Amino acid sequence: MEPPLTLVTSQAAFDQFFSVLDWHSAFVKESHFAVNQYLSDQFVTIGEGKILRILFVLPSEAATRALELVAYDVKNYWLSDFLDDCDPVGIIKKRDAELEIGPFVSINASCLAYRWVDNKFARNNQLYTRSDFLDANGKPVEPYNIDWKTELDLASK
Amino acid sequence: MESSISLITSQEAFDKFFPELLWECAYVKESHFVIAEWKTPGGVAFAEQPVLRILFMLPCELANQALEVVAYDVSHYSMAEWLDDCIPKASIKRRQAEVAFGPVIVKAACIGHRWVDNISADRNPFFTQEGYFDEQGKIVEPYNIDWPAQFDLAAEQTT
Repeated sequence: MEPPLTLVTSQAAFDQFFSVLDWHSAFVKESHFAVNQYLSDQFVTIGEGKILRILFVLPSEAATRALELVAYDVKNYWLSDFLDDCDPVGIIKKRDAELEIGPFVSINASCLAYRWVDNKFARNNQLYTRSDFLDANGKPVEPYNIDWKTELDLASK
Repeated sequence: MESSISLITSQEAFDKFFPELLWECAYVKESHFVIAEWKTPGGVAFAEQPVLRILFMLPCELANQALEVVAYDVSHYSMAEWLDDCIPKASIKRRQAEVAFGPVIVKAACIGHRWVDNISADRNPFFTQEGYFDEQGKIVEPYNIDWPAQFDLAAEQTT
């Protein structure tokens, strides 16, 4: 069971979290992009959001965990496994989030979120080939069940 | 059961297949990038090699199939959902493939493709239900493809 996602609702929230981490020799181990359009057991369409999930491995943290970044309503992105030892730079506005890490990683989305996941995914196991959209009861799981628009609105009030 | 992956071993092979398809209103439904580094049940680690898989939806084919493109040893890629009705272009050299599906650009050592069932093309996620091993514990496509050897073979056959 992974911990819940934390939405990045402000520039301060981004700076407080991402800038403090040690990104030396960090790399992208896995990413998954999907048009979030599928059927549940009851043949109900859940939504049409575009979600990008990226699993970053930070060597300073790899003994205990890996960092998952989720981008909601992704417009485009540019990815490489290689981060060139650069720290993340983010511009967070309401429903507009831009993230750059070095020259080869750039994400343009409406909202970003993150969580730490088990260190087995930082090693030799894959995360996104085993994580489905629905749980055993047919309910959408994180990050697909997050109402990020409402949470962003709440945070800006 | 999906069909086998065809590797693009020459510029001609690319030009014969991709531009011939109807790309109008095509889009990316799903993509999965992974450093294919994992352990077998016996505890053996495999080579590090980034693999990118992209599931393209071509509306003219939707009733039957979706197109999966696999890129081996990816250096970087740019992704967008819509392809802007662009016809794919590529520069295919030995162990160097640069492909542009409109705004979707992939730089890799090798690319391949295959048609997958329209169940994947419809509403179900594809890559989140795909393991690396079959029921017998053997590595499945596209991870089991020895693309450098196939490239070498193709190069030998043309000389």
